[in-house]
Amino acid sequence: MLNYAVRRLLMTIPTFLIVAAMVFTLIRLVPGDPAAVMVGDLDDPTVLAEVREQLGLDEPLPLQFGMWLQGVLQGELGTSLMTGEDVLDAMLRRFGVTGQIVAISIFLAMLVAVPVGLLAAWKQNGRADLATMTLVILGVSVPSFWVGILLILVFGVELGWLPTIGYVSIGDDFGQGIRYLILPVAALLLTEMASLARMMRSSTIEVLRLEYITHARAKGLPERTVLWRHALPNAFAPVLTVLGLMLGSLLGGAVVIETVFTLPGLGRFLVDGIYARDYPVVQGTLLLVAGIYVITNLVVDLLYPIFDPRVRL
Amino acid sequence: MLRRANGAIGVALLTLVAVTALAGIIGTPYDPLVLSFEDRLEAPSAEHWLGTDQFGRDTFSRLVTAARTSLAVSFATVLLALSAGTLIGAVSGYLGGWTDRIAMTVIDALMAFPGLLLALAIMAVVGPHRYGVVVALGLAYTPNVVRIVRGIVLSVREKEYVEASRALGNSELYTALTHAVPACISALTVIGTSIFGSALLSESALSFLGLGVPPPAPTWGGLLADATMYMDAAPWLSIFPGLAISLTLLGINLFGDALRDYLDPRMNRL
Repeated sequence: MLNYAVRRLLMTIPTFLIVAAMVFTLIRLVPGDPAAVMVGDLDDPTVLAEVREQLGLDEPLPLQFGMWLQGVLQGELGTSLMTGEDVLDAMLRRFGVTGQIVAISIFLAMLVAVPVGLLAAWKQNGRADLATMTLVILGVSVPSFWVGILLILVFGVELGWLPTIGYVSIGDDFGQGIRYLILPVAALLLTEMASLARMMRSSTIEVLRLEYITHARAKGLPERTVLWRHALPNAFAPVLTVLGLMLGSLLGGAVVIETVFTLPGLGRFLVDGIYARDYPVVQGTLLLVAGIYVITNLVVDLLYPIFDPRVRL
Repeated sequence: MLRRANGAIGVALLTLVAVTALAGIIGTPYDPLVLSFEDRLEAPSAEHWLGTDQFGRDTFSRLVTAARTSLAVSFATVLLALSAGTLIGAVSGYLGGWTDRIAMTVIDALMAFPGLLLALAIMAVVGPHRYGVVVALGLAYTPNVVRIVRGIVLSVREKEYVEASRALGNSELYTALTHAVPACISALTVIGTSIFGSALLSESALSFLGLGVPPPAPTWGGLLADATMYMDAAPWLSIFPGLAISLTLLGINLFGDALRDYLDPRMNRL
């Protein structure tokens, strides 16, 4: 177990390095001189040379990368060209917003999708199963940002029940904060629920065919125990992996949802950074998102043996 | 039985969208780009079936024209991802050793970026451009293809017929491409369909964010982005582009499921 954990941990180091190299190179590929972008319209060769010196742009590329990476490891991601803010500080503050809507929606989606998937698999091809599968295919086909727009149209514009744009932190005002979160979370929820339920269903169908389930039934255990005690933990393991992988598409989806609801989250930060050609922001955000993704998948892989003790990589 | 019906519905939906998109080449009821300020934000009527936008452009004509853009971009993305992914995956899996190890580490790192964010980052570098979108999305989906092709090539590499080709004196690359790659065809069909759906969705998201195919060319995502400014005055503008995206995706998903059932009979019972 320890051996597996250590090896899995070591595997993330080259991945991290290459992720960092990609983020670094990407910005260097932008046509034009980064120093000129930073200096802007100020057409003064001495200032330009100074900024080049500061950024280390005259050094050879591998050395530049080394210096940059060293900074990154010490948490120095530079300052935003738009606002002059420290990129790391700004990112961490905005991460709270994105983290909230993603975490709440994943939690709610699991709450619904796991039992629904399990029961659909139990009565495979039954009426409830067919209804579930129909909803699933509709759910994965409707883009979450359009769901968001429709929710704004119905609950904001027509009924006027909920705020449609902006954000209040639940730390400042819990009741108001929740009201601002309802629609964005609901918009992300539909697609997540659908794909998790589908995964849970097919994984349960696989498990229910195994001999230990037949054995449990032959022992005369009630169906409820067979399903929830015996089938569920085993069927859940692959769903957990998918959940880790889904986080990527969720963070992607959050970018668009944050734009729809004008939430001050990480995704909006990245998009604004791209519009403004604010490269420290773009670099920092990409690095953080990729980092979160790598770490989540590490955690998922480390958790896996708990659900499926046969895993010994 | 129901599965087969689903597949048929999927094909019907996709045919409808494709035929509409192609019919747009012959002509649309109105020019999708011509402004007409006296007709701004009109509700759906006999003249303008789906109403008009903030510049008085006919929504139906713009939707039809946008269909062509979305489908063409998604299709080109699939071709790019499949060809690049197959080449890299086949060579890497076939050669093995250090080539494989390095290629896989790079692919792992690429996969750490969510597809849409990777595409966003590449768009930040190349700027909004029709072909830029294809390159960005193509690159974003290549790693998935590499993974699958490599896995299959690894499993057939040691089979006798591959051995035989090598014994006949064929080069390694020739053997890999003519004998190992064909084993991947059915998997490639399935993943190609799924990439088509993801690419369509991502293309809409990119143009919704204003980082996709640049205006004035109409795109479904761009139409939605415009519509969000007029939700009070013209709510119908927000309905139709989203409906177009959803119906196309539904078609692809239904078709993709049916295709997978057909190509992978083991899954049939699921």
